[in-house]
Amino acid sequence: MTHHSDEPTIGLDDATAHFVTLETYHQLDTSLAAHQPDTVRQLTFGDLLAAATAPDTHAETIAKIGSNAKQASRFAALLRSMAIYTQPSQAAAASAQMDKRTGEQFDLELKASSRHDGAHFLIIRIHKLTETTPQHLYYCHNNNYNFISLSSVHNGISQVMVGEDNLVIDAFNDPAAEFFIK
Amino acid sequence: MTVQDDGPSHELLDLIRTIFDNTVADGRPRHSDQARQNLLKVLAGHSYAKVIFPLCHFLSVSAQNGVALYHWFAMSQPVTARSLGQGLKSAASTPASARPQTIAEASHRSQTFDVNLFHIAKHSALLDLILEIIGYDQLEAFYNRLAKAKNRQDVTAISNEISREIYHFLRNHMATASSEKKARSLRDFLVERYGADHPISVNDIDNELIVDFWIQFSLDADSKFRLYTNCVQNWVRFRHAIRAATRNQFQQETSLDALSEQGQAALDQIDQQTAKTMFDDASDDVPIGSQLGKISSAELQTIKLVTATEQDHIAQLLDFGDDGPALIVTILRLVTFGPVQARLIEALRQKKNQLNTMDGIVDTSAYDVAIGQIKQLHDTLEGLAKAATFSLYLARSPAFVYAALPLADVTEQKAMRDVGVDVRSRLTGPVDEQELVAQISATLLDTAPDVMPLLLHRLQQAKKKFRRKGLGKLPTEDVETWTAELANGIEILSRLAPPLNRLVSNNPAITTAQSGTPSLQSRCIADRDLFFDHFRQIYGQTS
Repeated sequence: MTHHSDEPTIGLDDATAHFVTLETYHQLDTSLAAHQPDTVRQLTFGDLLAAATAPDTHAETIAKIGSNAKQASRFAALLRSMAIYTQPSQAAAASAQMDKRTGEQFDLELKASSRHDGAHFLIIRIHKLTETTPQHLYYCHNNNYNFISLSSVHNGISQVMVGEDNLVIDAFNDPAAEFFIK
Repeated sequence: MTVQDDGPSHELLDLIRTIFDNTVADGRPRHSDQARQNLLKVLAGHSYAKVIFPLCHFLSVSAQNGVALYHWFAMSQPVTARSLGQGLKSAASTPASARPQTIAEASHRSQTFDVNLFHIAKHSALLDLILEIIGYDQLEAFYNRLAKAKNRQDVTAISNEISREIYHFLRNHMATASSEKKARSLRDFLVERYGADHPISVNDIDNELIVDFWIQFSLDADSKFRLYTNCVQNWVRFRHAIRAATRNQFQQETSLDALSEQGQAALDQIDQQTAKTMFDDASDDVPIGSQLGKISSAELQTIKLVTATEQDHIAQLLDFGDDGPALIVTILRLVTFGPVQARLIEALRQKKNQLNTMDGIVDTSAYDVAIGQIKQLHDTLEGLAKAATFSLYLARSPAFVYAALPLADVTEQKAMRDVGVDVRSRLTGPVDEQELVAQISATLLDTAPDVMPLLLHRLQQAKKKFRRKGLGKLPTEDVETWTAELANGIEILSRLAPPLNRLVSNNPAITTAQSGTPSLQSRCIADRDLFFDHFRQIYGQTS
C-alpha cells in the first residue's frame, strides 16, 4: 500500500485512541436516543430545589429525601445555602425538655396553650430582619426533613400554633435538630 | 454498586437525560444544543478535566463576589454568557467593570485573570452533571474553598479534586472496555497488514481492507464483526478517527491566559474545528444526521417531505460523511449484501432453509441499480426542495426569496439581485432594514414570472412531480407553522443533497470501475460469489 501524498498520516495508537472516543460518543448518543427502560427515577438537584422552594407541593419528595442519607445531606447543604436564617444544633441540654432554643439569628420558644387543649405555640424571634419575607421554617430531626409554614412576621416575631403530635415538638426538644427559615 | 461492563449505565443516562430536559421557568431549555453536545463530547473524550479548570475559575469569581452557589442552578433564564454575566454583575461586590459582561475579571491577590463566559455557557451541562455526581453539599465545600483561593495553584488543586471525583464516577458508570476491545481488533488487523510502525492514513482503510477484515472476523460466532454492516460502520468510524487524530485539535490546549476577548474568538474556532473533525459536524455545529431527523414525518406537522424508507437510506449514506466517495464500492456492497445477510439471520432464526433465501436475490446489475437509487434519492431531495420553494412562492411568503436564490442559476441570481438594487435605488429616504427586505421580497414575488421565468417553470415542474402532503394546496390554517416547516425543510434538503451527489457524480472510484473491465456488473458478480460463499461458511450452508 502506498500513501497518497495529500493524505496526512498518524501513529496507529493515536488513531486507535481517537476511535475509542468516537465509539464512546456514538454509544452515549444512541443510548440516550433509545427507549428508556422503566427504571426508578433518582432524585436530582432539581427535585431538591423544588422541595426547598415549594415544600407544600413536594411533600412526597421531602419524604424521599428523608429516606436517603446521601440526598438528605445534599438537601441540608442546599437549605443552609438558601436559608435566610439558620439555627444549628444546640449544645446538649441538661434536661430532655427545653422551652427555648436560642441562636445567633433567631430564637425558638415553645409554649403550651393556656387552655390545656394540647395545642402549642411555636414563637420565632428573629434578631435582625432582612428584606426577604420568611415563608417556611424547615427542621431536620433524626435525618428527616419537615417544614411548617410561617405566619406573617411582626416586629421580628412570628407565631405558629401546632398540635401536640406535631413533629416539630420532638425536633424542638432534640438539641441535635437543625432549623432553617427561608 | 454494580460496575458497568459495557457502555453508559442507566444511572448516567438518566442523569444526562434529566440535565438535557431541564427547562427554565418559561419552558425554554436551560442548556443550549451546543452545551448538550459538548457534555457528550467531553465525556466521550474523557476531556472533562480540561473543562473543569475554567469552570473552577468561574466558580471562584462567583464565590469571591458572594454569589450563592445554588443561584447558578436555579437561574430563571437559559444559561448563556449574557445571563451568567448578569448573574455575576447583580451580585458583584466590586465596582462594575467597563469590560463586556461576557468576560468576567477576577484576581487572586497579585494575579488577575479573565473568565470567558461564552466558554462557561458552552459547558453549562457539564457543570450540572458535576453537581449531580458529587452533590450540592460537596460542590459547595469546593465552592467555599474556591472563595478563598489565593492563586492559580489553589484553583488547580480544587479542579483536580473535582476531576478525580468525576473520574471515579465515570469509571463505574461509563465502561469503555467493549469499545477498547473492538479498537484492539481493528488495530491488530492494521498491524498485521501494514506493520506496527506504519504511519496510518485514511487511504489505508480501503474497500478491500474492509471486506478482508469481515472475512477474517465473521467466522467467529462470538465476534462483534459477524455482520458486514458492523464492520463497515466501525471502519468508517476508524477513518473519521484518523482524520481527527491527524488534525490533532482535540489535544490543543486552551490556556486560561488566552481567555481574553481575542482568546474568545480563538476558542470558538477551536471548538468548531474540533467538533467538525471529531464528530463530523457541520460548520454551524449541528450534525447533518440530526438535520435529517428534523424533516422526518414524525417531526413535521403540516407537511411531509422524505418518507421513512428514504430517510433510512439517506441516513445510511450520510454515515459515511466525507469518506463516502472513496468507499463507494463498500457502500454498494453494503446496500446490496447487507440486506441479504439480515434475511439469512432471520431465516436462521425461523429455522428456514437459508439456501433458498440466497437464491436469485442479487441480480448482476445490482450495483448499477444501487447507484441509480442514490441518484434518485439525490434527485428527490432536490425536487422536494424545489417543490417546497414553489409552494412558498404561491403563498407569497418572503421566505421564497431565500429559498429560491440557491436554486437559481447565475443569470437568474443576477436578475434577482438587480431587483434588489432597483428597489434600493428608488428609495427616497432612510428605511428600516427589515422594511427594505420586505419591499425587495414583495417586488421579487410580483416580478418573478418576468425576472426568472425558467426558474419558476423548474419549480412548478418539481411541484407537479413531487406530490407530498402540504406541497399541494395552500393551508387554510396554521400558515405560520406551514411556512416555517417549508423554509426550514428547504434549507435541510439543500444541505443533504450535495453529499449524495458527491457519491455518484464524477466519483473516480466509479469511473475507474466503469471504464474498463471489470465493469460494475463484473464487480458485482465477483462480489456476489465472494459474499455468498462466505455466507455459506458463516451460516453452515453448502451449495
